[in-house]
Amino acid sequence: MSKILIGRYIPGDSIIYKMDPRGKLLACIAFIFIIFLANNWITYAIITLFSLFAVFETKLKPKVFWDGIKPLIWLILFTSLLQLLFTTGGHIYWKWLIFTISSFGIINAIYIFIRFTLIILISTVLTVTTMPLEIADAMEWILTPLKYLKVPVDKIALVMSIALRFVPTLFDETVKIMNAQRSRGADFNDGGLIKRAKAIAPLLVPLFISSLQTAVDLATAMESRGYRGSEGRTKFRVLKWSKYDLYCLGYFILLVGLLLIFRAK
Amino acid sequence: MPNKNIIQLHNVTFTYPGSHKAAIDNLNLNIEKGSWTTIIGHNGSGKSTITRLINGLLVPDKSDDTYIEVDGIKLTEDTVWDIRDRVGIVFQNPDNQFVGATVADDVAFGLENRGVPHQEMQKIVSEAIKSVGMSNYTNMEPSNLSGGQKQRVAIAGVLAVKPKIIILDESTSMLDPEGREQILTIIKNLKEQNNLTVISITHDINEAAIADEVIVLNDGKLISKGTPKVIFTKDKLLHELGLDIPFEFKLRQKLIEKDISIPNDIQSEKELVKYLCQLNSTM
Repeated sequence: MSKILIGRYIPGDSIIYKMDPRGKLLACIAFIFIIFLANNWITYAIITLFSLFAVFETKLKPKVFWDGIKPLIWLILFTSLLQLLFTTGGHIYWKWLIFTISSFGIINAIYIFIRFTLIILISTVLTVTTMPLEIADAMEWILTPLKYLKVPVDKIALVMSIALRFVPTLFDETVKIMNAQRSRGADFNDGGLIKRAKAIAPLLVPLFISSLQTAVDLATAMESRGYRGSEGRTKFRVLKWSKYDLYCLGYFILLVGLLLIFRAK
Repeated sequence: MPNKNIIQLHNVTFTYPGSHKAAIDNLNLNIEKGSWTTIIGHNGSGKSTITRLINGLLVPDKSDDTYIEVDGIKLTEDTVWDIRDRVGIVFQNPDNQFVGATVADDVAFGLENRGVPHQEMQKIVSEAIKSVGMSNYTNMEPSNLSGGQKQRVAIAGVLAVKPKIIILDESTSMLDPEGREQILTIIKNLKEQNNLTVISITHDINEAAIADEVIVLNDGKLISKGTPKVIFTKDKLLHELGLDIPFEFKLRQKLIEKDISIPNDIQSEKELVKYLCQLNSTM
C-alpha cells in the first residue's frame, strides 16, 4: 500500500531520468503557460506531438500515464461537456432551452480536452521520473531568491525533506494502529457517515501522540548530532546541471518557436 | 589524572521539571578512557538521563560543587557544542533518529551541521557507510531498511563526525537477536580500530557481560560498580533490584547450590566450560 503513496516514482533509465530535477520542475511549470499559446488545429497538433514524445521518452508503460489521468477523467469530461453545451457561435447544430451545440462549442470542447490531458500527462512525467526528494530539492532551489525577503528557505527545505522522509513511516504506523484497533473490534468500513467519523478517533488519537513522540525523539537525535539551526550548514546533496537539461531547453525553445509561427493571429 | 578519565560527573543531581524526586541523585561517576562501560538498572532508574546530561541535552540542578567534564572540557553553555562533537549517541528507536531521506543523507547530517565541505563529505560518508557494512544500501530510503540496518546507519552517522565517545542508549533493545549481535560486533571492532570509549545502557544482561566495567543504578543512585565478574557474583543484590544475571553466572550459581565446588576465579563461559570438562575427566 505504501508504494502507491510515495510520489508514484518509478525508477527508470532514460534521458528524462538523467535530467536535473530543477530543469524538470521549471519545464513542467513553463509548459502550463506555453500550452495557452496554442489556439488552432496546427498548434494543438504540434504541442500534442511534443508532449507525446516526452511521454514516449520516459520509456514507461502507457498504463502509468493512464493511471495519472484516471482520477481526473470526470473533471476533464465535465469541463469539456460544459464547453460543448454552453458555447454559442458559428454553425448551430442543435438547440434546446439553454443548451446549444455549435461548431465553436465542439472545437472548444476538444481543445479543452486536449489541454487538460496534456497538462496531466506532463506533470505525470515529472512525478514518475523524479524522486519526491529531488522535487523537494528543486523547490528549495527555486525558493532561494526568497532569502532576500528573509524567508527561512533552508529551514523550509529541512522541514520538507523530513516530512517526505516520514510519509512512509507514518503510513506504516497508521496501518499498524488500524490493525491493532481492528483486532479489538474497531470497524472502519461500515455504518453511516457519523459512525465512520467516530471510528476514526481511535486511529487519529494514537497517531497524533506517536507523531509528537517521534518529533521529540527526532529533535533530540538531531540536536545531539550537532544541529543548531541552518546557519553554517553545508549540503551533502548537490544538484548538477547536465547536457540533458540543455536538450530540454532546446526542445522547449523549438516548441515555443513553432507555436508562435503557426499561431492564428 | 586528567587523562585517564574521559568522563567525570561530580555530585550531579538532576530533577525533571514537575517531578518531586531527583532522577539522578548526587551522582559521582568516572569513566576511563578507552573502556567499555555498561550501565544497568531497572526501568526509571535514571540510565538514559545520564547520557542526556553528558552531552548537555539536560542541565543538572544548580549547586556549587557540581560539574560534568568530558575529555578535559567542563560542560557549560559555551562548550556544549564542543562536547557534542566528542560524544556520539545511538538512540533506542531506529526509526526516530533517522533524519535523512536516504542512508547517505543521514550519515552526512552530522557533517552538514559542522559545515564540512561537499568534496570531503563524499569521502567521509562512503567510508563511514563501508565501516558498518552498508555500502550496498547507500541510496536506500529508511522505510526499506530493517531495524538493525537503520541502527547500523545511525552508528555510521556517529562515526562520520569522529567522536571519542560512543553512547549506546538501549540501541539494541528494539532489535532481534541477530541484529543485536551484529551491532555489538560492529561496535566492538570499531572501538578497537579507533580507540573509542563506549558507554552502553542496556537491559540485555549478555550485552553487559562483555563490558570492562558495569555500573548498577537504582533510583538515580550508584549502587555498585566493578567488572562484570565482581558485579554478577552479587546475585542477591541484583535480584533485589529486579535485575537478571548472565547465563554462565546463573549456571555457576546453580552448580554451587548442587554442591559442585567451583573456584572463585572461574567466571567466564570459556573458563567454565574448560573447568567442567576437566571435572568430568577426573571423575
